[in-house]
Amino acid sequence: MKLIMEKKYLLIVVVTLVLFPLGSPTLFSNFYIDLLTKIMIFGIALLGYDIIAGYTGLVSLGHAMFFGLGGYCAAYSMKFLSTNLFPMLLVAFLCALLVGLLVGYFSIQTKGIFFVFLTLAFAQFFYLAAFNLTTITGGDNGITLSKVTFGIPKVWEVMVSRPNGFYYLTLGFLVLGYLWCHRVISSPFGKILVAIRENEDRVSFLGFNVRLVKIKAFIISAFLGVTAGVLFATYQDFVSPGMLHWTLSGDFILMSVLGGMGTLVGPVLGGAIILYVGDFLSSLTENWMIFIGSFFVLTILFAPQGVLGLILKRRGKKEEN
Amino acid sequence: MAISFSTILTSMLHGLILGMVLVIVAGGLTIIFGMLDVLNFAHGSLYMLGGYLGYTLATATGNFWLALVVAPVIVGFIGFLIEFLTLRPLYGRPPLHHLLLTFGLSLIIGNLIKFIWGNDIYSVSPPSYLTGATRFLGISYPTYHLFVLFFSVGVAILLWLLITKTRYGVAVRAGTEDIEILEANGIDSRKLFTAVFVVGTALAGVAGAAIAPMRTVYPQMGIDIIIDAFIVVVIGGLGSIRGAVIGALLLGQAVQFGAVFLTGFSDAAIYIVMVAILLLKPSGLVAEAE
Repeated sequence: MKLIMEKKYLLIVVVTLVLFPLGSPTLFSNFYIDLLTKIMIFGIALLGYDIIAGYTGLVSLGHAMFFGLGGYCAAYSMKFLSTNLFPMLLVAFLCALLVGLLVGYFSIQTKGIFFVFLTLAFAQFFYLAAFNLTTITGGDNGITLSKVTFGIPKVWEVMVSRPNGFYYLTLGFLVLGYLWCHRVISSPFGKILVAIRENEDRVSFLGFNVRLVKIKAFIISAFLGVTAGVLFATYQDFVSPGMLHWTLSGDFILMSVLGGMGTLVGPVLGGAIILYVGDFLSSLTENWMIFIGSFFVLTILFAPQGVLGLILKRRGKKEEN
Repeated sequence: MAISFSTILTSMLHGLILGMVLVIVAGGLTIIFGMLDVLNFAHGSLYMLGGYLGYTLATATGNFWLALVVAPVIVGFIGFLIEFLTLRPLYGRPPLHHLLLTFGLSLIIGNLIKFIWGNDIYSVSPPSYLTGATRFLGISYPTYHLFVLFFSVGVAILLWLLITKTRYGVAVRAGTEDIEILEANGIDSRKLFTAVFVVGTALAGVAGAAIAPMRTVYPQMGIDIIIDAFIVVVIGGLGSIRGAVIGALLLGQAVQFGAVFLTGFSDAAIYIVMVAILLLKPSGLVAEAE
């Protein structure tokens, strides 16, 4: 089974995404551009999550830690540095490296279920800090951000226009993120990740430093997580402890599994389905998670390889015939 | 800050009650994991369902004891449906699939509860002779809290007797060690799996119904307990009942003393305990299940 979608299809998707805002406001309202922006932001975090969970097989219940970390980095660099996006990202990457190293180092001492809960614990520390240190973080009220700017600080800076400017900015990051992840998983390093998922001991016997590889994968996923976090905070001009809560990490797992882990495109697709269907259903009933939950249960029961896995399998069968 | 004897005693009692409730909830999780290799994420939602059913039955019939018995039976029946319909097809798959499946189920149950009972908070009134406070050793302590303590100790002893003194218990303990040998001895493991899952979920139901008068019934109660219960199971050593009991009592005290000493950060206490234990003993306190 081909795990990576062919270039042809991805190109069509990207072109469609580039042309999409042209349809507004004649065909649909700006609301859909905002929704798609949100889907793409989650997509960036999910790409990173797929590296660690899908490819390396280390399912973490703490990915919201990086998402929220990015958010708070954006808030603080806006407060103390500038409104420019790039210093924000730089600060976020530094924090991701630091936190990724620390949490990664301790978490990868364990495996399987223990890893799930150790990452959860570390993420909850951040959540509790954000929630309880009210003088610094504003507690549950969060921090309101000013409008984000783009460009080279002090030389050329523009306000990112809404919704289209922000949409294209996010699209750019999503494409870059995908290309980077694709490069990572196609490299020999990426093959080792998959080998670790399949049989860790053999990789170790071959002389690779499994722990080091795992930490690297963890940090890569952290980088994408904070990028998404920075974008999400600046997209809604607001950060709150909710961005760090474990239920959001649970949502990342939900989206990844639904779309199909270990395919890069799958989790992004899963995120799009849940966010879009969730938005649609939430206008009908407050308890729309009943349907998402049922859909998810059916996926695990009948199509554990996810929606994308199912599509690829079907196509594989057709080609055989 | 001077900490008096009565403050410490009250804190320890609070912690002990919390710990005993966790013993019941996490005990159910543990026997399920030990036997079926299923980490049941829906356990918190089933606990919450026990609370809501207890509330409805108690208010409808006016009989608290009836509610305390019938609610876990209904929860156990739902547990049966879950095991029979969704878990059975999944045996043999990686344990992570079970965790994910039950995560989905927890979303369904949690939101169905919100759909049926709404977002309101309900208080359940215990029988009049269990209300008020009892005075002893110089402190005044709510009578119902003491009842929860004795009740959960009673349930724990029953569970212990069931596991150590009955034929079923022998089969369960044997199944935790080696399921194939058990089958070779002519025991239908499928039936045993179902029975264990039903008992485990009923334990969640009974804990939810028993704690309802103490903590009220609210839509977040499932989420509030599940992580604590999981932490107990994980630090206990995944599948070890002894470990779970130690872990639950430890966690109960950690939460309570966290509230006294880590003002504003009390919630972090349980995570600190878990991280410390897992870093020192990566496979939990009592790693006998593996």
